[in-house]
Amino acid sequence: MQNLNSMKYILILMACVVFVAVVLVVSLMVGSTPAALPRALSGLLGDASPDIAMDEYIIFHLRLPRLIMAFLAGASLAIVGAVFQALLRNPLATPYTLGVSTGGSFGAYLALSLPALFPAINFQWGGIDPVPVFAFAGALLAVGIIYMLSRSGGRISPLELLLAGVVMGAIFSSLILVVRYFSRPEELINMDRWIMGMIDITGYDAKIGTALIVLLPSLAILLAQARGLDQISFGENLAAGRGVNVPKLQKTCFLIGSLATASVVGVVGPIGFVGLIVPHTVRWLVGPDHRLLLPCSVLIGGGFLIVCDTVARTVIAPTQLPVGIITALLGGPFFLFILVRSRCSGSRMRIGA
Amino acid sequence: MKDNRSGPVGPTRRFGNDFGMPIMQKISDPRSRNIPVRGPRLHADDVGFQYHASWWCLHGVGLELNCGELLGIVGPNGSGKSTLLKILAGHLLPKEGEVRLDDLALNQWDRKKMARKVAYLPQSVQAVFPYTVSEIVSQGRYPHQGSFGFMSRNDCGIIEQAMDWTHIRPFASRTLAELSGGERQRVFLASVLAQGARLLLLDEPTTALDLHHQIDIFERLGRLVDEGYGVGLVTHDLNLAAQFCHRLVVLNEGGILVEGSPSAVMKQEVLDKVYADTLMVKEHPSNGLPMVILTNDRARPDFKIQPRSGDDSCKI
Repeated sequence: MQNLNSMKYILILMACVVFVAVVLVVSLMVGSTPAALPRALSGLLGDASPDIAMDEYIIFHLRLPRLIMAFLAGASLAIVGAVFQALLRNPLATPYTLGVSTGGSFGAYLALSLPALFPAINFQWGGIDPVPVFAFAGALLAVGIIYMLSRSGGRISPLELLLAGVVMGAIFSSLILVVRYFSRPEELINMDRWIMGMIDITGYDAKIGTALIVLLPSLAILLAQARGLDQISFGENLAAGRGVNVPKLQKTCFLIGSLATASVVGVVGPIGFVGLIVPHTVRWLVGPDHRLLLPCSVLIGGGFLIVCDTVARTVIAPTQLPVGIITALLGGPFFLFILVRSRCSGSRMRIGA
Repeated sequence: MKDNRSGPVGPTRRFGNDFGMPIMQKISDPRSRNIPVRGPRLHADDVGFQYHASWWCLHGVGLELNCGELLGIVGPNGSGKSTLLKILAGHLLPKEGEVRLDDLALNQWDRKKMARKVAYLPQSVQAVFPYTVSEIVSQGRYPHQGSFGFMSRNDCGIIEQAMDWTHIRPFASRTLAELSGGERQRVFLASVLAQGARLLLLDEPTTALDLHHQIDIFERLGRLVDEGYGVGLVTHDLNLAAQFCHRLVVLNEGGILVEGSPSAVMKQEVLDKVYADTLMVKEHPSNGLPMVILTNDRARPDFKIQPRSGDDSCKI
C-alpha cells in the first residue's frame, strides 16, 4: 500500500522546506549590488561599522521584504490554483479563472488614468497609493459579480462558474481597452508595466503588512480544506455521500481563494502561470492527495516566485524585468517538459482519467 | 426484537464482519427470513420533490430500507429513480414529506455521523486527478477521520479488506485511467465499503459492465446483504433485479406503481404499463423467478428471419 503515512508526509514536506531555505539564502546573496550575508548577520547582532551597516540595509531592508512578498504571492497563487482545480474539477482552472485578474487590472488601469481627470484620487494612505487599492477593489468586484451569478440558481455549478468567469474576464478586458483608448501615451507605459506584474517592495511598508494580514489566515484556512477537496474532486454527489458539507466547502474555498488572489493582484499585479503550473508540477511530484499537494504547493509556489523574482532583478541588472515575464519564460518550458516526459514514462501526471 | 437463533441462550454473540462493524445475527437464508436484521433503517414518508416549480419529479413516495435486504428500484428513464436515491442519501432535500434515519430526519443528522451509517455511490463519478486505487479506497474512510486524518491501523485493515473483497488488490497502485470499466466500478464499490456504513445506496452500480461483471457485482452485493448490510440500488436490468433483489419498487412518473417481491411485482400487466408492451415475463427455467424477454415486431410468431447471402457460414 502506498498510502500517505506520517513518515512519508514529513519527509516530503521537509524536502520542500529545504528547497525554500536554499532558494531564500541564495536570493538574499545575489543582486545588482554585492552584499555578503554573513556580514549582514553580524550587523544584525550589533556590529555597527558603516560597511556592515550597508550590507545589512541591502539584505534585510531591501531584499528580504521583497522576498517575503514574492514568497507570499507565489504561495497564495499556487495553493489557490490547486484548490480551484479540485473544486471546479478542471485542470485548467487558475486563480484567475473567475475573472479576478482582469477585474484587478481594470481597477489598476482606472487608478492610473483617473488622476488626470480627478486629481483628488491621487491619494497616499501610509505608503499605499491608489493602484493596489483600485486593483483590489476591481478584483473583488469581479468575484462578487461571479458569486452572485452562480448563487442565483441556489446551487453552485462548477461549469457555469467557469463560463461566467471567462465571460467576466472578456467584459473587463473590453473595459480596459476603453480606458486605454482614452489614455495618454505616458500613462500607457505605466499601465503596461503594471499588467506585466512586478514585485515592487522596498522596506516593510503598509503593502506588505496588509498582504501578510490577509494572506496568512487565507493560506491556513485553505490548507485545512485538504480532505474535503480530495472528496469533492470526485464530484459533489460522492462528496456529499461521504459526509462533506459541500455548499460550505465551496463557499469557503471560492471566497477565501478569491480574496487571497485579489490581494496578491493588488500588490504585485496579475502574475500569471504560477497558479496553473505549480499545482500540476507538485501533483506530478507527490501525487494528487491534497493533504500533501496543498502544503507543497505553498512551499514550491513561494520558492518558485522567489527564483523568478531573483532572475528578474539580476539577469539584466541594474535594470529589472517584470517578474510576470519570467514566470512564463522559466515555468512554461519546464511545464511542457514534464508534460511530455510524464506521457512517455507513464507516470502519474495524467490529466483526465 | 425476537431472537430467532437456535442454540444455547446466552449473551448476544457479536460477529465481527469484514468491515469492523458488529453484526448481531447471522442469517443463513435472508429470503426465508421475515424479521429484519438489527441495524440502521431508512424510512421515506410521503416524499415529493420538484426541480422546477411546475413539475413534480417525485410525489407521495413512501419507502423503507432495512439491513439484511437487497432493495431494487426499477422503472423507465426519467421516472425519478436517481432523484429518489439522492433524497434517501440526504443529498437532496425533499420538497414535501421527510426521510428519517433511525427516527431522526436526515437534515438533523450530523453529516459525518450519517455517512457512517449510510453510504451513497452516485451514478457517475468524475475522476480528474490521477489518484491510485488504494488512495481512492482509503478516501472512503473520510467520515471516520479528523480533518487531517492519517490512517490508523484499524483504517488500514478495513481498507485492505474492502480491496480484497472486491478483488482489486492486484492493481492497488495503479491509477483509474489504467483500469477497465468493470475494475473501476469495483474500485468505487470498495471505497463505499470502506466507509463502514451498513446501508448502501448505489445508483446503477452495474451500468456499462458486461454481463459477467454485472452478475459478479450483484453476487457480491448479495453476500454483503447476507452479512447484514442493507443495499438499495437503482438498476435498469430487470433480470438481474429479479434474480438478486428481495424486494422491488417500480417507479413510474414519479410515483411508486407497485412494490413487493420480484414474483409479485413483475407481472405482465405492470410491465406493459411501464415499458409500453415491449417486454414479456417468463419463469426462469431453473429457479422459477420471473425473467423478461424482449418482444417486438421480430418476435411475432409469424415473423421469419430472412437469411442474408453469405450469412449462413460463420468463421471463428
